[in-house]
Formats: sequence, structure tokens, C-alpha cells
Amino acid sequence: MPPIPAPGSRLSAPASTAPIAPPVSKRRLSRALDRVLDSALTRALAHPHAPDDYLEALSPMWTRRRIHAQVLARRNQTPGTLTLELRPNAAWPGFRAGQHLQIALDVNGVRQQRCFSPANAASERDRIELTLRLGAEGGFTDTLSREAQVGRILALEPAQGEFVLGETPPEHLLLIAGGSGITPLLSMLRTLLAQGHRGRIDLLQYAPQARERLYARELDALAAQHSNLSLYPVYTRGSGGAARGHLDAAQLQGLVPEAYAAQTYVCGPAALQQQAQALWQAAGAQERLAVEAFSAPAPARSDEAGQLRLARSALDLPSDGRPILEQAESAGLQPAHGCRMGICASCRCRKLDGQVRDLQTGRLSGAGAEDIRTCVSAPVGPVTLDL
Amino acid sequence: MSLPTTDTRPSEATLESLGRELDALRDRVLADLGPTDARYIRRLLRRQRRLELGGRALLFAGIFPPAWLAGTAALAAAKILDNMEVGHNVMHGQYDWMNDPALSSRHFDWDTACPGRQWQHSHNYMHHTFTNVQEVDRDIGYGVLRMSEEQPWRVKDLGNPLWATLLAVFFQYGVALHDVEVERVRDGRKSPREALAVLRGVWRKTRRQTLKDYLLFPLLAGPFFLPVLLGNATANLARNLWAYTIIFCGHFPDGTEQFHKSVLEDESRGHWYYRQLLGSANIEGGRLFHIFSGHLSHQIEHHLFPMLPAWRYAQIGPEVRAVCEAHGLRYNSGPLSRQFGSVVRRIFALALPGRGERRVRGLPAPAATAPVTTALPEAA
Repeated sequence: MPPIPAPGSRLSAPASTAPIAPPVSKRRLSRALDRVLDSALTRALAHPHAPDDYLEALSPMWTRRRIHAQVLARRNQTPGTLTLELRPNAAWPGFRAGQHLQIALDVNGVRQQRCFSPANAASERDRIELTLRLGAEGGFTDTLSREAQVGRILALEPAQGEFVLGETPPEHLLLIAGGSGITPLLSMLRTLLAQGHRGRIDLLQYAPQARERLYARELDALAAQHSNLSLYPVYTRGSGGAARGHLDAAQLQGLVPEAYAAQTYVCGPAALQQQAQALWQAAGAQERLAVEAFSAPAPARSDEAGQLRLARSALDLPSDGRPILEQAESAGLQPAHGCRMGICASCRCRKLDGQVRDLQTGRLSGAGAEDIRTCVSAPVGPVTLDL
Repeated sequence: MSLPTTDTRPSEATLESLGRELDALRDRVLADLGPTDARYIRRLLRRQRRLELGGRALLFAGIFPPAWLAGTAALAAAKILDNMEVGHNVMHGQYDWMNDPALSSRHFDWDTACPGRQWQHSHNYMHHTFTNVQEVDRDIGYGVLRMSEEQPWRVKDLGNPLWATLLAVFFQYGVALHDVEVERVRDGRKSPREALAVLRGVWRKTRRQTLKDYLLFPLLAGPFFLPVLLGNATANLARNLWAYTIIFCGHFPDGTEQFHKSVLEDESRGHWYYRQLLGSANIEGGRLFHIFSGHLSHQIEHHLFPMLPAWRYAQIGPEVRAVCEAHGLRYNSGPLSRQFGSVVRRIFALALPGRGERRVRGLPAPAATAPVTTALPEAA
């Protein structure tokens, strides 16, 4: 199937992707405020609390270290998704295109955190655009959708992740997106185009059918404006796209014959990621493939025998192979936790001795004292934790 | 109102039934924890912080007496809320289930001389587990006062009222130094090294607290150094007196009982509840009074369920009382004047030898497992 032709080569960058930076005077003022409100003197005055504790009580948007963002707008691009436009406060350090941030939200009074990738250009320092799939993340996105009304202030954690472009953008970039996995890839795309990047970019965008394709209008406009961008919508259940059905070798060959030579980024459902990994491995091109792991399925269990000793709680449990966090919760404890998928390290806990297996990578830890993430670690033999 | 007294230990069946019903009540509240509790503590914390900022701001205009009075009152109220309804309860882990670092018992520290982590050991573990067990629960008299007939009289006890007044005035330092456990160091049961480590922690925290209230804020006020200094000192004093009053009403009014160490051997869940119940006393008052006492006015509910968010105690109080009465157990509750009045009388009475000789009322064998009442004569 032929790719959608990229029409005429207009070079002007569209207004929507132009870098928007706050005026210099405002940034200078913000830095001056930081110097005062985050100084040793202010910290001594706030002791034993933090200056942010008091600023937050006045307005969450005034905090200097804790990141908060206000909902400016919300819209439903497609059925089952929600797009939020946020204005972060001065504590927001910005992000690199492709990274994810975390939103912290009370679900039934319990603070939970989930990862979302901004979809806007990284050069936009005072704006964050998120698109999330509703009904995902065990009710989190539904609660978020209910709570995130215009004007509402949300708590964020700084952006992180290694799913980012290198220092110099590649000659040929291939982006493969499935569903809401478009967001980090769109951020890369917008960031590069806003910089005036001229290298070849191919985007394979998977969606069940045309009306569920996210950012359809924005992407079509970008493709129309940038001759170096080729856009291939692929519909797994509908017609009208550049191809139909799930990713496979023949489809890839038909759309982007030079795929394995390009620097490739994949973000989408686990099945899409696994298929891409299998294809690139078979072609011996794994080192040119980057996969965003944040939508990886949560760790299941290990079948190794283990014994879990929780020193602080004076509990001794036979391990059932599930992550330590889940086992501790089953035992009635309430350990700190965040994303529950090994990303945010909110569940970080001191292992006093013994070995654990990382359920995502399969790696076995050392035997000494070290910090582990309880949400993705299972005991191998006897393990003692400071929990 | 004269309280019914329990001379004898209830039957095992009664204790078992008590344990079962109180466990069920606890489980029902635990299952109900959610957004209401989160909203309550967040809103309270926000108001506490605003009150503190407002108080400190007003004190900067403290050269005008009305501003000084209002600022001092606001700061005192803010410190009381910080210590009692927020600090004490958050550091009990009552809100740990919320998974919010700002309300986590592992991170929170309060605006008082005693370092939070240190207090958690002596309070949450030693005091709450071994409540009113003589020689184990060091909250009995704080190692300074003679609060029980069981404690042998010494000459220094003549000063009981004076020591009590000093403890009230300097209560935050009393609480902080409590964990040094001087008497255990003296007896050789605790190494001086350990005690020194505790002292060092207290010194670090006290230094920063003192720097803030008695130097930095006054200096920041420039020409109004003195009004700010006096305002801060008065607010700290008011907080000390208030905390002392509420806390001493928890375990020492008439009718509260103390126990011999031997009850700890193979203690059943039911007996643990029974001991907590007999060792604690409630203070009656309005909603604001309960909030400013950190709901320690519901000392009975707090000692039965130290992990439940404290504002829930007011809610379950009537049910707890009904359970107690159904089991023929006393529920010691009275207005502040009566409860504190009886504490003051006890402090004076125990200053003298001979007064309030150990009164063991018709204890059945084995005597060691029965409560030792320390109540003053009902005629008091």
C-alpha cells in the first residue's frame, strides 16, 4: 500500500510548534523568588517543616520545589481518551521529548501516581499537554478525568526516563506509535520540527480505526507542512489507512523498506512493543530500536522459593513469588508506593540482606544492604527488609 | 458522678467478648477510611499553616497591643494544632494509608523540641503497648513526679506540686528529655552512650527550634524584636501548658488504674483492651475542644485504637461506651475541670508519705494479674 504522499515542501514552522518561553523578566523574577523562598534562612524559619508546606497552604501554585500544574483546558479528541492542557508552576524544570512525568492523585483518599508522557514540544517551558486513555491504570485515569476540571491544580513529579532522542538527531528517524503511545513520539516530532530539523522522519501510527486516531488533524497538518515527515496511519480493524492490521515484517517492508537502518522509537501496547522487538532482533538491528517501557505489564511473580522478613514490622512471611510490595500489603502493611511498575521509585526500601529478583528484567540483586524497589522485586531465598 | 470501680478482673469470657466487639468496631472504621478522612486532615493542615503564617505576620505589628494579642493567640493555636491534631496523630501512622509523604509517620516532624522519630519509639511503642504498666510505661509521672501510690515515697516528692508546675511550663523539653531515660542510665540498664545519642538528637532539634522562635523571627522584625520574641515565648508557653493539661488528664484522673508487670505475660487481646480502657480517661467538650486536644480528649478511644484517624474517635465514642457498659466496665469520662482537678489533687496528695497508701481492693488471687487501683478515695 502506498504511503500517503507528503505534499509540497513548505518550510515555515507552524505557529503551534514554535517554542514558547516565558519572557526573560518573568524568569528572572522567578529565580529571585527562588533565592528568597528556598534560602537557608527561609528553611530555618519554616523548621521543622519546609517553606513549600507554607506556600502550598496559601496556593499550591506558589511552591518552589513541589511541582503543581493547573488545568487550562480539556477535550476529548477521540472516544475513550482525554487530552489535558496544563500550566505548570515555577518548580517545573521542563522535560526532554519522550520522557514521562507522574501525576499524583487521591483515589478514594489514597495517593496514587501514574506516568504520562507530554505530547507537546519540549521547548514549551510553561505548558504540558497530556493525552490519556480512559479506563486504564486501574481506575486512576477515570478519577483523573473526573477531578481534572478546568482550574483544578494537580500535583506532578519531575519528568524522567531514557526514552529520549540523542544529542544529535538521526538522519532517518522512524517512530512507531500505538494508541495513546503517540504522546512521547509526538513530543519528539514537534520538538524536532520546531528546531527546524530537516532529516527524514517516518511515523507509523496504529489505531483500531480512523475515528480513534489521536492527533489526526495536528499530524496531518504537520505532514502537509514538512516534506521531511511521512505519516502512515495504520488501522488494525478499519480501512482507509496506509495499511491495515497489526505490525508485521511484510507490512513494515511495504511502508518503510529502510526501517532497520533508521533510528527507531516504539511506544504503544505491550503486543506492539514485543512484535517490534522480535522484528528488529531478527534483522539484527536491536541497537537502533528504543522501546518505551512504561506501558510494560506490571510484574507477575517469580516461581522461586523465598522468605520475606520485614524487620520494622517484625513479620516473617513465606514468599509467594509476587512483588514484595503486594506481599506486604497482603500482610496488612501499607508500604509507600507509587507507579507499581518499577519506574518512580516511590516504593524504594532498604534491603538489609538477602537477594531479590527484578521481575521485569529478571536480574538477580546482590546479597548485601541496598535500596530496592519493592513493586518489582521478589525474594530469592531469605530476604530481610527495613519495612 | 461517682464512677463504678472494678475491683476484680472480669471473666475470660467477658474479656474475649470485649475483644471481639472492639475488633469488629475497629475493622468497620478501617474499611470505611477514605476521601472524608483525607479531606479532613488536609483541610486541617492547610488551616493550621495559614493560622501560623497569620499569627507570625500579626506579631510583626506586635508593637500594637491588639495585634500582639491576636498574633500570639493565633501562633499558640497553630502550635497546638501542629503538635496535637496533626503531629501526634500523623506520627502515630493514622494517615499512613493515604500514601502521602506529607502525612507519613516516617517523614513528619512537629514544631516542638522533641525529635519526631525519637518520640515515636517511646510513645507509640513503649507507652501505647505497655500503657499504665508500672516500671514499663515511663509516661507514669514522666520519671519526675510521684503519680502512683506504688512508687515509694522519697523526700524529693515533697516538691511534687513544684515539679509538676515546672514540667508543665517546660513541657516540650520534658517530653524531649523523657527519652534520655536518666533513671535507667543511673541503674545501669541503659548505656550512657545510648543516652548521649538521644541527647544529641534533642540538642540538634532544640537548637533549631530556639534559633527560629527566639532569634530569627525577632531579628526579622527589626525594631520590633522584643514584641516578636515575647509573642513567640508566650505561644510556646501556652502550648506547653495546654499539652500538659490534656495529656495528664489522659491517664491520671480518679478512677484510672495501673497494672503490675506480670499482666504482660501471655496477655490476651481482650485483656489488652481492658487494660487500655481502665488506664485511660476522657474529657468532655465541644468539637473545637476535641480538635485542639488532638482528640486526646477521647483518650479511651485513642488507646483502644491508636491507628485510627483521631477525628473518628468522636464518631465511635458512643459505641465504645455502649460496648463497655454492656460488659460491665467503667467508661471514665468527665468535664475538664473535674478530670484535671482530680489530677492536681493526686499530685498534691502523693507529695506526702503515707497519704494514699496502696489500696488494693478485694483482689482475688492471683493478685499479680489484677489491676492495682490508684484511685483516691471516692469522697475526694
